[in-house]
Amino acid sequence: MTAERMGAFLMGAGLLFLAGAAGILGTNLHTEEQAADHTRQVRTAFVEEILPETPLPQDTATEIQKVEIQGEEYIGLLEIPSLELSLPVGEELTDQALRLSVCRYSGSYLDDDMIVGGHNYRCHFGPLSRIKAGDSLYFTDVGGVRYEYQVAGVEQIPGNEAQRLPWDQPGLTLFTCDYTGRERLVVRCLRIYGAE
Amino acid sequence: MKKRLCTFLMVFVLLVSCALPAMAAPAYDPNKPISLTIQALWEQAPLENAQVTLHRVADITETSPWITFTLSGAFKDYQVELKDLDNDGWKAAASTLATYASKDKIQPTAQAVVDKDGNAVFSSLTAGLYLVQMTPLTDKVGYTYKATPVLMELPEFDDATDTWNYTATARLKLEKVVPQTELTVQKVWNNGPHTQPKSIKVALLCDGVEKEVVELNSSNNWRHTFKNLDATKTWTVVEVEVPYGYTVTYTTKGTVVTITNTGKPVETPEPPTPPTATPPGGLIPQTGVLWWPVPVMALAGLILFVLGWHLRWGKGNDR
Repeated sequence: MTAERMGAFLMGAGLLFLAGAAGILGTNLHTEEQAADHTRQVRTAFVEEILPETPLPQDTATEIQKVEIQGEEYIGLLEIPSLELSLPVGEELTDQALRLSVCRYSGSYLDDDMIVGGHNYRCHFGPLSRIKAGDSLYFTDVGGVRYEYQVAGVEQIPGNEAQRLPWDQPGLTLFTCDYTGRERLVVRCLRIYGAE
Repeated sequence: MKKRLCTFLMVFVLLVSCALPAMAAPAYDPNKPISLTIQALWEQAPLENAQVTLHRVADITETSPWITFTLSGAFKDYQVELKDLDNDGWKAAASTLATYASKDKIQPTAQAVVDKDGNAVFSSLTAGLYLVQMTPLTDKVGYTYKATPVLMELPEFDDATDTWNYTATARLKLEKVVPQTELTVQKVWNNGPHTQPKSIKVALLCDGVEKEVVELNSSNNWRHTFKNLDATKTWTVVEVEVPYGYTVTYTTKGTVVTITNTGKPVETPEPPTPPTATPPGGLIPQTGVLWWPVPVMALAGLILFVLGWHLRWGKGNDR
């Protein structure tokens, strides 16, 4: 009798857990889908409406130039051909902006110290776990000027050690959460000069 | 068909004017008057009023065994080879001499205007090698026609009949240049300590006269393209009023003009602003989607369910 009741209780609890797992799965997939949609739309607008046919002369801008697309401010397009990623980069990293796009966390592409963060959605920085040293990256600013980078290495740093994010080399740093959400996967990319 | 004929004619003219100088020829009569008719036709349309110029660049110094030229007059000191040239060599020589004539502003030996039949007629010329050029001509629609400079010997030797021709004719090889009818203006901000204005005004000037004013702001991405501009005029853009505290520079690349406003440093010393390069310390923003609970909860749920099933329905409990 006790065993029967216990069994029923455990089955109920098991079902609750399964429902919870299904719920989280559904929410995650929905969030990712929204981000993927938004990214697609912004990318199209950026490429078709923002990028000039003739790029601006390289050194006219000394500050980050931004444009507004769908209510958010963007500074350029980050392309990682080896991962088939082409992502508009938001001007400022906030929780809200991060749900839709990868964003500039600090620094500037003009000073070769930009740090870009993004969720580990499959349509954002999720695929970064597969990136390899030597892969090429490109950042195109709103004036059409293209900056080239090459992956120098990948690091893993604890989520509470923000002071380790900046890099002492001229280039670009990307970061995203690992699977547990406790650590950050950090990709260091060296600027390749003269290729633009 | 028309095009083919044109090509044929052009090649013919080139052959006649270029290949012959290497041929052996009888002596010509230096006292006979020489005339030259230059045709300037685009397809069949005459380029009326175009200016054609002749520069006599060399003397005919020998006719036997080969026709030989030697640079003379204002051209005599240029290091341009006129011996043993093929078609491309003659074209290059013509283009080089044309460059010198323009750079050193050498007065043409003769000039004539193209008439309504498309002919520019020269007469009473002395024997020699002539550089034929046409001043580029822009029509009402804005298309510009340019001619390839060409070298011609006068009188012209006709190797078919082995005689000198004292009334030569040649057709210019022309090229049509599509006019620039667009101008894009693009704004770049380097704000420095200043707050960037919400918009600026840019005036379009036609030969220095204001034609149109547009506003640039973030909704048009600080960019505007003026279209359908009359290509025969000169078009420029100017920022109507440079915002207070800013300097301005203009850079042009192709048909894009970039106006850069740079904030002037504020004169009163300001407390240094914290550098933006150092990211806020402590926590790095959470960039993870919570995936780990999914398998954990699913597995836990399954285990609990199976366990419960065993307790409820399993062996030793077969009610």
